[in-house]
Amino acid sequence: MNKVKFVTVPLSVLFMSLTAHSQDLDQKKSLEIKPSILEGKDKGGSTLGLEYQFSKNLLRYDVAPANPLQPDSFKSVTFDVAGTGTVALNSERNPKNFLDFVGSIESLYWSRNLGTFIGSLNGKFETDQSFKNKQGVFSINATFAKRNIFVKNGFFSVDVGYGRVDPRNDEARAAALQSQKLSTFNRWEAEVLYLHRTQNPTFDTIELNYRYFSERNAPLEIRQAGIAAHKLATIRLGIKKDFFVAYSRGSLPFNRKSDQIVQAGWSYKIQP
Amino acid sequence: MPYIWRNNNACVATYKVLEGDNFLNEFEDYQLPFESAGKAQLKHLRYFVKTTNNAKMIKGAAMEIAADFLMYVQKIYTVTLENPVRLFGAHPNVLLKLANVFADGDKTIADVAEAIDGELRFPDEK
Repeated sequence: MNKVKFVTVPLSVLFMSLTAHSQDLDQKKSLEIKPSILEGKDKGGSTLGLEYQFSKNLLRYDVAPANPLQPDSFKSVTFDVAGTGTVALNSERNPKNFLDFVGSIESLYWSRNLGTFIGSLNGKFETDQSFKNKQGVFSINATFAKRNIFVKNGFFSVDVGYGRVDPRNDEARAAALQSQKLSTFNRWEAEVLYLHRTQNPTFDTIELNYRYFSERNAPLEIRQAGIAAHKLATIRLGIKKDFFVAYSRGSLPFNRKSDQIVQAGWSYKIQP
Repeated sequence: MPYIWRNNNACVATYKVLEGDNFLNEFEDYQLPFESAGKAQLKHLRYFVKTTNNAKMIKGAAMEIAADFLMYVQKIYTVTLENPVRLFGAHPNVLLKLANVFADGDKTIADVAEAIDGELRFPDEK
């Protein structure tokens, strides 16, 4: 049985999130920086971390519904930039050592009966916080989202992508292939999310998330090194009185270790 | 000037739809009474997904809840459009306005009320 290696305690209740966003609803722009403590139990001690997230809409074209009060469908095309990641004072103890920056052109179609469909072309730069490992990814994605699925107010979403990865400086890949000249490869990626609303007296939400990355036709050396595929599964229980417990198992690209992460604490204090 | 959370139709409808067990059931009234609800950030509500940073999934969740919210508001109050026709004859896109608010976890419940108050005319405005 694997030991729990990391305990992450978000400090959003202790630190103010640093937030700046536009007042213009149609031109969404936001930056959020959230401090947290990342503790590596097996590595002796904790380290301070920062989670960041930003997004900006640069261009949009909409076909507004004919009946704005009772819309049946809606279409739009947008150009957005965004980024997410977690950095720590000690990168070795960072259980989420993965940063990404994305630019995307999206076509969105919403239908009252069918749900939300998003097709997108994306250019993404991925790295870890040391920037020793980095790669560019160009991908095409399809995303589906639907509310009131299985239970009232429940939410389901799936995102599937196929892309070409340019590993400019990937140490583990170079070591596995015993070459500094790394060629591009193709990769599948998928994410499935389900948010369940319960009537349970203890839990009010159960959130399941699974992310999967798989290199297509990976060389034998890459498969033997165990870096041809990456999986990360997370379950999060939203508990009454503003508590939550989350458990993650697996890893993301550049985070080669197979970790289990437990997060616990207050997700928020809902009453301001 | 920031929108003032108060006892008008827009704020009451926003509160009732977000809190009501028969509507969106995003929080309990004992957790968040009406008087202080306007300041609560949307990322703390139940609909806001917390295990992903996937912008497309968050956008999908926002579109879906915005549509439900708009439908439920009209079950509480009879509303009309504030400005039925915009520049070059375009229709106002109430759904998109709401979705942009619901997609941003740093927005507040008062921001939701502001969005519908700007687009919809409630009975207390006639």
